[in-house]
Amino acid sequence: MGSSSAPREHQLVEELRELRSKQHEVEDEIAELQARGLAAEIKRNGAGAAAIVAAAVGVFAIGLLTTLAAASEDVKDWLNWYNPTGPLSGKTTLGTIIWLVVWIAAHYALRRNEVNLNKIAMVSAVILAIGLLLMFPPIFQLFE
Amino acid sequence: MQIVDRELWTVLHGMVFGTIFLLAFAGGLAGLWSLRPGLITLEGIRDRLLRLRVGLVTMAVVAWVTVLSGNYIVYPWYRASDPSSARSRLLANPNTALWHQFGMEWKEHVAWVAPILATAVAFIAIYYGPRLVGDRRLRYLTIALFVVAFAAAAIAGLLGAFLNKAAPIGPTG
Repeated sequence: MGSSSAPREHQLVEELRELRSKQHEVEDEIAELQARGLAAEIKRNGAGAAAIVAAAVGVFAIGLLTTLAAASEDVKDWLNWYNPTGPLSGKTTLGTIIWLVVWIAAHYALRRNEVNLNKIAMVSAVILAIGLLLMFPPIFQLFE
Repeated sequence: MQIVDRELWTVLHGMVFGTIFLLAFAGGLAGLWSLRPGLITLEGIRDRLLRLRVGLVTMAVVAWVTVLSGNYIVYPWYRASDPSSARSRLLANPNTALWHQFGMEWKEHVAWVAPILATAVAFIAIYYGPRLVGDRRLRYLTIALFVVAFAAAAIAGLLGAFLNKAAPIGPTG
């Protein structure tokens, strides 16, 4: 069994080398076409990852501000940006601003990259979960 | 049959804007889920992507209109300091205080999760378009974000409906 599989393995390794070489040729060709404006840009998943992470950070920001406002009267008063709405106005406006700033920065940092989406998913899930917990009344009211 | 302006805005916020978002979720989810290589042709992709993009952008816009109208129009009436406001009435009775201390306190914050996540979902659908068909991980992540947005909106909507039943924002409160 061992003697008949070795040539087959060798053949597969050679085929793999050939495919990788062709892949590099195709990528070079696409890059040249893109440089000449003849091919649409290949979109890496970095921009999507940036949108997902930034959204999680935005939710976390609002959750954190909610807990901080519960913990401190000074923070609560500072967040009262529009009196009829109260501190909620500051929490949500500042949270939205943080989300947008993080998104813009992450987008420009990652848009040309292909990132590990599993890691992005895990990190985003943790950040989002903490943010959701921090805006849950039994949690943030512990800090009052 | 008379509806005063406070009742009208409460209805618009909850039963129009919020409901549009919740109802459109099913279509958006079906659209995202069906972007699978074995299920649709090239023509089908083009057709579905256009509907999906329009639908998701509309949902994101409606989500923002819902939270902004809630934050800056309906909520000020709810939390007004006079004794006839909805908040004052809920807190004055120990049997109903929890509606505010838990119900409104959760609703007013968790609602903002929906537009933020819905905007990210709409962006991904517009930016990547056909790539979502081939990129299963990105598509599943997008769907997960979309489901969380819906859950947040559903919680906020349900609490809002119960709160309005417990302490309606009527003509003077």
